[in-house]
Amino acid sequence: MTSSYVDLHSHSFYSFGEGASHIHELLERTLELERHAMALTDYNLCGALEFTRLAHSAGVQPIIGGEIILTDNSHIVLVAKTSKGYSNISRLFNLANRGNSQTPRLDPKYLPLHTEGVLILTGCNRGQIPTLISKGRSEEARKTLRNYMDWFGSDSVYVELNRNFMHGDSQRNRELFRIARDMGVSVVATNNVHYHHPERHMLQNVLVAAKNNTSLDNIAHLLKTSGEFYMKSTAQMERLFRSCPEAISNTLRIAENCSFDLSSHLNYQLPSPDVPDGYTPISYLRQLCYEAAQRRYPTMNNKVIARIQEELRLIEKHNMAGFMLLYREIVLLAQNIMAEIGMSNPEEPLEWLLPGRGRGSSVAMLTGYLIGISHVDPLVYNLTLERFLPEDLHTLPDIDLDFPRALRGQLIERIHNHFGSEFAVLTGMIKTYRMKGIIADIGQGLGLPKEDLHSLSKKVRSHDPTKLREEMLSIAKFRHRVDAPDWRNLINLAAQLMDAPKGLGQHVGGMILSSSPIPDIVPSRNSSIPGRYIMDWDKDSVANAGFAKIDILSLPILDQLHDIITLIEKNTGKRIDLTRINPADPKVYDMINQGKSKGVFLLQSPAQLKMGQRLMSRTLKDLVYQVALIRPGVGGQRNAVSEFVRRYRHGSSWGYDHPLEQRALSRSCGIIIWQEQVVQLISDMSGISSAEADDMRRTFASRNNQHLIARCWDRFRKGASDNGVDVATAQKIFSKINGKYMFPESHSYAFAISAYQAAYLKCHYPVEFFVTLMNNQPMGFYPLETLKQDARRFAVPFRNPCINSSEVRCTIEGDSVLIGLEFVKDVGHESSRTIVKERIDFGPYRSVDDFVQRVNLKPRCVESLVMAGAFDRITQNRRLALWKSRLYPRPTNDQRYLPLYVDDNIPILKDFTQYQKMLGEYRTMSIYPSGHIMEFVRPSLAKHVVTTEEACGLDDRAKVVVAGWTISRQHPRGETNIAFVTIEDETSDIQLAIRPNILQRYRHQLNKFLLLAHGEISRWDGTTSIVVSELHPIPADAHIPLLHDWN
Amino acid sequence: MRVGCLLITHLLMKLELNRYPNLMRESVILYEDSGRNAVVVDYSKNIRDVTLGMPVRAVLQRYPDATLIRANPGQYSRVLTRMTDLLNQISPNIERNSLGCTYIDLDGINHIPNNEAKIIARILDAAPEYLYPRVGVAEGKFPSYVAALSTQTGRATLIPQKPSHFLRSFSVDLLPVPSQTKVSFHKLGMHTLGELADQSPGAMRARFGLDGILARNLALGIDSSPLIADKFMKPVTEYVSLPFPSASSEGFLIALQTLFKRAYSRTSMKNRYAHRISIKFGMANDLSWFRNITVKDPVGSAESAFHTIRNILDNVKLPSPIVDMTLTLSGFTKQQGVQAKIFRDDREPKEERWNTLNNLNHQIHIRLGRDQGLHHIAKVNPNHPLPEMRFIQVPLGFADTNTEIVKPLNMPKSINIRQRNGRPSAIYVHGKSTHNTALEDTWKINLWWMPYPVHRIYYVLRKDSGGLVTVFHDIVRGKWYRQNY
Repeated sequence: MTSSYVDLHSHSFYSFGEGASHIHELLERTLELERHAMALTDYNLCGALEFTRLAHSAGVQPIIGGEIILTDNSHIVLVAKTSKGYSNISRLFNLANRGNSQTPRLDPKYLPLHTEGVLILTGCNRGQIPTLISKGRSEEARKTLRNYMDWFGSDSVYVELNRNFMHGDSQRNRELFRIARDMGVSVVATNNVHYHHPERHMLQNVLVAAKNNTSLDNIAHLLKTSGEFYMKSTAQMERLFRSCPEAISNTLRIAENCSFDLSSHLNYQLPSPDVPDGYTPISYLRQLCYEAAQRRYPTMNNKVIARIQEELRLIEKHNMAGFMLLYREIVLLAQNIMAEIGMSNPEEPLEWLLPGRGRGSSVAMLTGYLIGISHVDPLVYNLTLERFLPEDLHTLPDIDLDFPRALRGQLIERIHNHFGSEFAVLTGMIKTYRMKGIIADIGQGLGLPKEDLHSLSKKVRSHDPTKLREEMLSIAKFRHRVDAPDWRNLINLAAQLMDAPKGLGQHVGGMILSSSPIPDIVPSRNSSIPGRYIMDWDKDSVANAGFAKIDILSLPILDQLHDIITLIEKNTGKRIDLTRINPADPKVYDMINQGKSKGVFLLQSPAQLKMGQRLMSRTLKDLVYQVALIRPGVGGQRNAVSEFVRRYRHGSSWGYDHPLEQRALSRSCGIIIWQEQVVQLISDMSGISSAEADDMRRTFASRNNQHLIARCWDRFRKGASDNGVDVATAQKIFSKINGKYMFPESHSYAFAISAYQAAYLKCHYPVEFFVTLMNNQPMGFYPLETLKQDARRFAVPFRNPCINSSEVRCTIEGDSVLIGLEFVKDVGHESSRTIVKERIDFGPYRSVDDFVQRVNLKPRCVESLVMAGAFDRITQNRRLALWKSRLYPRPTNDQRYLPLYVDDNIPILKDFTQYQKMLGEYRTMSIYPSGHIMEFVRPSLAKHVVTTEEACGLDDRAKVVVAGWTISRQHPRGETNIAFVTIEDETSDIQLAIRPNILQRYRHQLNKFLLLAHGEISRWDGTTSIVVSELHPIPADAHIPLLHDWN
Repeated sequence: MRVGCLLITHLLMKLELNRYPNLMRESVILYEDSGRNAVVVDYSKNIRDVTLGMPVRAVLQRYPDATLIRANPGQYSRVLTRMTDLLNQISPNIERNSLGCTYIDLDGINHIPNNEAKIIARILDAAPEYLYPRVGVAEGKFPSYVAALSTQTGRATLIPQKPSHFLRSFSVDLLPVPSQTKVSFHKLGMHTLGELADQSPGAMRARFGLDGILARNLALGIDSSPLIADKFMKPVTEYVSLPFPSASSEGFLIALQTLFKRAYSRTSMKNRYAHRISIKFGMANDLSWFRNITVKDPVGSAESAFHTIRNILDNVKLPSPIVDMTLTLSGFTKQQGVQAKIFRDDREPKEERWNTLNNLNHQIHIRLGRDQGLHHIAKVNPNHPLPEMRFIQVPLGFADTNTEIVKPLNMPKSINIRQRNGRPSAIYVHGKSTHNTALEDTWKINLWWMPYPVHRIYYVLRKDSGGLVTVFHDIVRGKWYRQNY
């Protein structure tokens, strides 16, 4: 690489709405132009680490910098020469983010405070000095340049010259050159790169318009209309600056001075936990473990002691005691919050009622169980250590913590406060463009009608923008527009934007703790949720930086489990210790294997229900496989799931493609199920280290990775060849790896245990299970109506709410679920509390009149209660109740009720029919406790339409017609492209399999609530479904509750 | 009071289907832009469960393949005006209750034997056949409306003096009471007018207040409300086509100001004050944008009308450049009833100054002809990359409606160029003398998205004489132009 020019001012998509190229595209172009270095100067540092990583892998010297916008809207470009310089740039971005994090602006007063190791370029035509020159204020420009020189040092200031063929460039460059010469400052040429290739200028223009929420016509004056902001060849740049060759040569000088390497110069360390005086972290951890063990195991046997000693030895060896105690500190913060909101007794030891639970390595550690970061006793489940805490551990294990929904939000803020907002920051999340966003943004920029764009977004089914034209051709409304100029532009530009970074959001809960201020490493900003702070880096960058990310996640099942245990204790006086339940209860597995696990965490999706029937789990280990199999990463391997079932359940013979696969895949019958297996497989086949193999695994999951995967294949092939594996076999094994998500093995254990606990409670305490399931909605797959139907099959009927019996939330009444008042539409939590409080204070309500006069609710709210049947126990006729609900004038604000005379000449009103009552209950509660809509529809159906229960009893390939309410629709992105729709009737439910040709024909019918399906019974591996040949909607005017759609 | 009701259901849709007969069997939605959302104003008969005013977006979810037609008020107005004129010939007292429903006072004109049949025939003839009109005659407006609704198209139904029995089986949805009240009727199981009429007046008053009494009376056929004749004056419409598509708000405000001046300079507008101002912008891509504005204080001059709506339009963001503009003034009153403002609007031009300028302009018209006069230069988009789209020239006074009133400035002028290595080396002036030139500066403009894409390379050239000249090469047309930048 011999180029005499380096790009020092370049923007990528990470400049959100300004740059129009991916980082890898910029780097590929850099390589093509035979340059050895490149600087990335986005308007943030979001892409800095990705740039560094990719640049290293491409053999390009990465120079990190940024373009900062000052409060007067002028720009400056800063480049990091040293580690300190990078910290200063990060700090300056951080200060700019302090105001409005959406449009960061830096007060220039901070500039002189953060100059060490920083090199400043005067910027593009919107730079502070160029702007002054354009306005003819040369003296002020000189003064500003003098300030830069004073602050940064003369040798760290460069006057930037651009030649982008914009009006005024020549004149400005002449003046800039004159000032630089007069003041003895060096000049440097840049092309202010906004895209790698000239053809991207259209996309860049459109992105600017979309960022400004308008169309191109409205902001023509703000656009880079010359189309010359691409990465130019060295020859082109030399030609443009032939009158000033030093501007070109200075780029090399700057590149030489920027020795900072972000991938190796980060100064990150975990903070140290607080330990009492006289203790070291390990001694304190030891004491905590033994104290808890004495409480947990009344008879401490040798097995327990040996396990604790072994774990503590390994923890001490890997210097992990502080790390473990840090987690405990977070869990203690959570316990404090639990006590504050009345969810636990602060006097109880932490491990009695865990505020959260681990889902990673901690599951296998007894120490984790004892100090309260795990909910699993590894001795009960025979979990071994070596996979999670091996002797040769190189990096800190990943421990994600799950917390109840009610707790998590407060916990995040508590952690910020406890550690300090500069030492505890949430990981960012880079939002990327997908089909709908692409249509919306490009369409807006092009000035296409919003109605049409919205309509198109709704109708397109493909997620691939390169197929937008085909999609439009398949839609009648858009068929004729594909060649219209603006629509053609939309089609052409759409493909260029797929997966491009769109903006910075907040990761679901990844928290970074650091012993040094995080803004010195990466800028942070206020989250859109007050009291939270997010950093510019996403989880991939955080992992590349070697940060220890603690995922503070929300898991609604924990709220439910907590509620069930409390409810059982309240009803029976018995406190269930979920860590001590029988892990091999046959009744529980029977329930799962019969597909009756709706509402059970992780086991309730239609795919999991089927998997239960196919795998016929009998042990926790089986369940671990079951939860791990239904993941995109496993499903993405050709026939992997079926093959696993065949081998594991049915004992079919199988073999390895190469003996080197054995170590990685022996425990899963030769199929890749877990992330660790991918790492092991790569490592064993190609002989690279586990860390490198893990990098390779993550490469598969990264965006726009084709060129990187090609490099991975080269590396893999070479290593495999060295290990004696022929190319064809290596290729076959390499093709098993995909970038889709699959569980880590420990994660499968943690989740399988939680799923088993939930299933256990559903099996043995169904009333409590359904009450708490209702109270913790939304969670899971199904609408309330489906859960109610499922409850009926467990002999747990639902009852309509009652103003004299119901509480705010659902409660147990006998053996049934009494629906809570807050479940009624328009009533809500506060009104429900008011109703209950009035009843407790002054006795039951005697009539509707009595109710409306005592509780001052909005009429609509009372009407909803009537329609939900909440007055049925005191007034038989709901219409009469409705009449009375608005008969009395409603006092406003604090007025006292005025008992005016009202004509009580009530007319005789016929009560609603049962069908009308059902419609009212669906409308007000999304649930019809006493029946199912199909009971009313059935009489109108032809005699040959069978129930789903009857369909399940038919022979394979029998012709069948069924009808039901659609409760779930799924369209997995697999090879078969089959859509699955589950319909439910008054007897049961059944899955419809819809092949692509049928789907194409009936795709609009699928949006209807009630469907009539013709098809053929398909029995396979213990499951039953209907392969659909025809679909027809059944008209119904009910407000059917929404379903889980197309995920 | 004997009342005739001329009823045309789905009037607007029928008018559109008459224009586009090929859509007769299609699902069609007629819509208009109402502020941010497009809303339904009518729909074809194969569309169900849609109400007027519903957002088009919601309707499209149910009928994704429906054909959308934007409402065309100008065209409807012409048809309605003609119908009103014909009905006025039958009776001086008519009330246009809503689109498609007109009441005619028949008292005093139908007492002659056999006259009623003739009158009904004339009422039916007032509407074109393709609108399928129907007529109902009864005592009072509501019974006559129900009678018209119940009859076949092209026919009439006459109901006797006491219509309560006739009305019993009709739905309560026909009642002119708030929709919420009608929903309540249904909820309580009172679906027909008969079921409503059976209730005691006291109970109805207690539960529904005055609406309850009104509904019960109408259900019994008692409707004593008078006919309110139209204070009808034809709307005034002005139109302008812009010299180039412009997205500049300054640009459209200037054009609008000019349209107001033209409208208020009409003789028919003397002493007239408008309550309603409708603005329609035609845009590139066959789009259009509407805004109907009802003003609290009717406006009686171009200046006050413009200043009244300027604030409303200031923040409007148009999706596309405007190519033409239509202004319609309607809802006229006379000056009475307009309350004088206590505080003057400082932005209004001083009246005296305005009058002086106007007089001067008038003199110029007289002396030099109607296409001459005072003009002012208005900013359209001073920073636009294309110089010809930055400023326009607008007449100060009332230009002749036939002349082009808005002119662009700084339009490119064709020029001959001698090139060397693709760059201009000499320019020809008047096709004769040649100036050798040296290149001083160059820049590019590529507005690829415009309806007629613009791709130019500008050059600033220094002539032998030392003067500067700016030319550009139009890449799309392959021609050279001269233009100040």
